[in-house]
Amino acid sequence: MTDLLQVFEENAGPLFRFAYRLTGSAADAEDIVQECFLALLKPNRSYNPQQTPLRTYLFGAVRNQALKRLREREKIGEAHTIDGHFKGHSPEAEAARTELGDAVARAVRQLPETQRAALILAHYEQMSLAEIAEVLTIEVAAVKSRLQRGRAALKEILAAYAPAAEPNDVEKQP
Amino acid sequence: MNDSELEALLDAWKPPDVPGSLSLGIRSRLRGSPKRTRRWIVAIALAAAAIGLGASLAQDASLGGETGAWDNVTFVRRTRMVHPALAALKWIFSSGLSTGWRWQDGKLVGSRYIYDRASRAHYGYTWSARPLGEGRYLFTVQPLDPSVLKEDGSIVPLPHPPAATILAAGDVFDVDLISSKVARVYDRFELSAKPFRFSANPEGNPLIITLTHPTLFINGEFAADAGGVEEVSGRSAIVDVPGRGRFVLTLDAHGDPRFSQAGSAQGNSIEFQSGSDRFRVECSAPVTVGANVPVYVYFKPDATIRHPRFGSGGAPDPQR
Repeated sequence: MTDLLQVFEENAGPLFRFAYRLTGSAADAEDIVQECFLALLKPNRSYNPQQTPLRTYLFGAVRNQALKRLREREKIGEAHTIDGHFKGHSPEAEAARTELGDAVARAVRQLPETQRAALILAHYEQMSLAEIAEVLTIEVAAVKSRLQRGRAALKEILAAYAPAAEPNDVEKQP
Repeated sequence: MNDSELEALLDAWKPPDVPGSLSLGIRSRLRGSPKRTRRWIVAIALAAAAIGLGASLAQDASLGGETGAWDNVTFVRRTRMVHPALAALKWIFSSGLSTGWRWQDGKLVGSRYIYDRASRAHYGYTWSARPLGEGRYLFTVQPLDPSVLKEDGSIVPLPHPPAATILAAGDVFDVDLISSKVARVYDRFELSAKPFRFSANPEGNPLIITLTHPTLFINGEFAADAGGVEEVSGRSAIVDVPGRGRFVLTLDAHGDPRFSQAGSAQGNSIEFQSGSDRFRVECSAPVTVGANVPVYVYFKPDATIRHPRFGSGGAPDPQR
């Protein structure tokens, strides 16, 4: 049990963030992380420590659960919402929820799921290409390709937020 | 835009904090403080113990409940149970509602349900207990009254609607909310000639509100007492005030935009502001384990409230 608790403490935060960024829902993310740890307790669990590092397995399990929930949402036609302000709605919390952050969240969620998961793991969880390949059960070359395409798409979507875009445009005015 | 600029932009997307309900339990467990043990840890411990002992199919887990009196000599405890204990993990953070009970047309009436966010389904029922004299009650279970629902979604019929039955002190009666091959969720009613000991929030969960013998004051004037309900406990507390509406109180709004910080809980009382009115709920026992804890309030002025009432509910819904 102590081992499991240590594993939970070390991984709960990154797993929750990953699930949240995939689903856009803190409630779903919480449920998903719980379910993934619960799966470790089952006698017929699919995890094999001889084959896969536990962290890799957990990220893969979170991704699978997130995909399942997203598919369920689509089935019932639920609006895709983002509850980015988790801790109450004080003025401070609202202020912290910046327009830019929301724009980035929307942009990332516009990516195809395959690119989205790779990008979140690479940028936000700082995973190596090899580790992302293990989580997504694809080749490293495929990870590179997905990241490349994902980043290119994001640059296009977020072009209006490019740091120097506005001043340059102003300077170009006659 | 180059790669570095994109990286900087991506950093603007901040995720929410890890929910307290997910992380507090782990930290407290590592600190080795039994009083701070959270439900998550209890649930994992229950599950692990069940597997280890090979007894997971024989144990039930409790999701909470309420105690009170139907009359001067008939005391009632209602406990929500899950079988097997392992299945409690699915429901332990679910929202839901228990209205407690009130007198209506010569009988006690209450409603309760549990809500499955994934399927947007309400599993519950409305019950009544009509006094027959000598401490006996005709206990009837009916379909859930839709007027008490807090969330959008369907009402799932009870799997085994029980027939009306006569109950008295010493009786135990179960009402199934969910019954499937993998899990059973049910409410156990226990009647006794002696008061039940309060057992709300034994784990010291700081997110739980407990109202024991609550009395409501508005702008310092007495407004309502608890009727027969002695204690309600849950992730949210409900105060129904005729002519005003329903106030849902919680200590962690959980991102639910319907809630706003409106007061605080301290010792045996909760105070909050609504418009120009000051509300105070005085209890006979501590409301929370914390001190001077912010209270978030969701006010539903359009709720149809005919009687003053205290109730309990589940966690706010961050999806809203």
